[in-house]
Amino acid sequence: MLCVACAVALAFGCRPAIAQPMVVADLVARGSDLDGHNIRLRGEAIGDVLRADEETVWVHVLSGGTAVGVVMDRATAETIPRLGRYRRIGSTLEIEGVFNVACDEHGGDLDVHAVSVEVLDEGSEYADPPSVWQLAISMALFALAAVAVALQRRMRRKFDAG
Amino acid sequence: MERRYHNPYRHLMGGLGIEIAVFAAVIALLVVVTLLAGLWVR
Amino acid sequence: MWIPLTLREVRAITHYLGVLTIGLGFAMSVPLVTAVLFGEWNPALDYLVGIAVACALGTLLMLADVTRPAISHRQAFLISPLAWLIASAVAAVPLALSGNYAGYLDAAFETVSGLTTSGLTLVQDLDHMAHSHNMWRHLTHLIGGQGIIVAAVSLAVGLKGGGAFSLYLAEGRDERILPNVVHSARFIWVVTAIWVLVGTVVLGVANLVQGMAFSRAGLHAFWITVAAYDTGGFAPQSLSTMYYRSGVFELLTVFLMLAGAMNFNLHADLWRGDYREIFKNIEARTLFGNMAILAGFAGAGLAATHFYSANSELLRKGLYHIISANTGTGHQTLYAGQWKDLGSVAFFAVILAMAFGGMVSSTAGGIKSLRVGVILKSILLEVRRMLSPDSAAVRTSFHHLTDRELTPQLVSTALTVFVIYIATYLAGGLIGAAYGYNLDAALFESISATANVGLSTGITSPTMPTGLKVTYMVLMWAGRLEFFTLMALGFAIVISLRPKRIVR
Repeated sequence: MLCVACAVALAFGCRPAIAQPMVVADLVARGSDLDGHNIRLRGEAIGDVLRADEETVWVHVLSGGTAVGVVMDRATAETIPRLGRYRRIGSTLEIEGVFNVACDEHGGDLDVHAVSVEVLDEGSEYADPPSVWQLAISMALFALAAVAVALQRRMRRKFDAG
Repeated sequence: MERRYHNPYRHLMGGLGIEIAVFAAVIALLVVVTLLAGLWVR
Repeated sequence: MWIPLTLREVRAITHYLGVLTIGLGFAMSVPLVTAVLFGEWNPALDYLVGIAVACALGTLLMLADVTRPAISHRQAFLISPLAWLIASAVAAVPLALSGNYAGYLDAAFETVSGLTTSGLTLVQDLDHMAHSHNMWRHLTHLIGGQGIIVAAVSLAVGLKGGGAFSLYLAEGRDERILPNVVHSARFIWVVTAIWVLVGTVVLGVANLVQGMAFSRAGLHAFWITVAAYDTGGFAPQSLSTMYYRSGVFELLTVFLMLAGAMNFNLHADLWRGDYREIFKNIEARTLFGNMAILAGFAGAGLAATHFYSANSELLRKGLYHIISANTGTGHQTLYAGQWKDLGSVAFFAVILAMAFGGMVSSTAGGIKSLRVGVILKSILLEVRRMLSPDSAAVRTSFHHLTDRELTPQLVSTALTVFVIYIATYLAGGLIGAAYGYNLDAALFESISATANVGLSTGITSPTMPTGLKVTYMVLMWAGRLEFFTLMALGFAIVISLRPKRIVR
């Protein structure tokens, strides 16, 4: 009876995960509940493509403020247009794959082994323009420092003289 | 025994080498201890 | 008798705080150059503002006393904690402007954590942070790990009189390496430079093998090296060292952590060609023995949970965190929410490892293995006393750089510090629990802050209560300076403001 209940719960528990793409933060938070399940994940590709073994690589996917490592084919990773970093929003990926809370193949890391990877959005570059007020403030402060130095010199001369 | 303060740069490479060797030995010891403890429990 | 500070003393202290503030402004030229090299113009202005604030504040403070005053022993003990405070406040300016922090308080938390080589972080969207800001975050480890005062003393910036050595002591460094304190401070920088160079090259190669582009591989290697060697714990990606997905990379960082947890005197003895010192030294023996025992517990505890089934996982999830914790580093290969997966035995082994900490006169925090070793020796001595005949005078000695006799004075000092650390760990844990967190997680986080480790169960986040942020900042500051300096400051302020009631 209990087994049946568990099986039903598991079946229903993982079905919505497949139907709706998850946010990484939720995936990590649910951890063991989803271990070994197929999941669908949506997030921004960030960082670097890092070697996992001869054929597969790691791509990190970020959503909800948390990143997760996704193992995929090297060829698949090469089709990702942008990896997020400073002044660059990485491509939005939708990944279907198997979630492991402690992957024996990869040193116990919490990871996702991708079955399919879809690029939903190419990502974009954005500008981070300098603000003039900062320049103005620093100039004012440097001027203040210069006055203080001049004052110190004068006071010191006075002190040395007598 | 009085503390000696002579030149600490004289055996720089040798000292660095021995440091790395000692750390490697310590890490090896820790690895063995961890694995043995793990095996014992399993 | 308590003697209140004179106005003249306060003015001299203020003057030297100004000198140190300007020094910190100079250090900001490193991230400024980084920003210019990578064309990060907005962050470049953040550092220009930072330098301007440091220069303006520094020169104004220096006006307090233009007579080039000499500093006394007691002034030195007041300059040190204030220098750490003012350095954190000024260092936080560019980070507060970066847009990666919720506000100035979060940025100040970050710089306190960085300078004390803790590694707890309140950064947001770290994965999109500019190179220059990451450079500054990690540079705070380098400045604070070697010591703000050591940095100043090694450059011999305007410090006159016998105060230099007192300053050096006031920063939690209790032995001079060379007769001359300036030479001692420079030696600390030489050791650091060599280890950072070796670490950067080796980790850089590891990153290139993993497929990172050249400039990123080099920068990440430098940052992780500095964070591991200075037992700091910051990392340029939100996943800490797990990001690099390489057992070899993790192994290399372990070497750096161990090097960082070593007493600078031990480095000096080895570099002098006295290779036997590391085997005889009570501190080294205690540290390695302590780690071995805790590694055993971690391995057994982790295996018992069956959460991690492969042997390599016992090492990369168990042993790695024992070493990271015991050396006070705080690099993490787990998500903050995953500590419960380790099981309670491994979890508490990590807590104990954090609490004990590395060696004295290193960049590590915690109670420190010299004190633990001395206390263990004194326990043995008591037992031997019981078992020896009445007429015997039982004595024992230990080896720490030289052979020393275990005196009641030494044991009492070690126990005093031990008790203060334990009390602070518990108090911090209680405060965390009072804010509604689980006691075990709160205790973990409190010890992590006080022992300047930086491992986190996730309590430390931008959304945590402001009171707890301030609490952890105080814990990190107090732990780095080993309490007494801080108490001296507190008492000095009280007796100077209320002289009539206290001074007799």
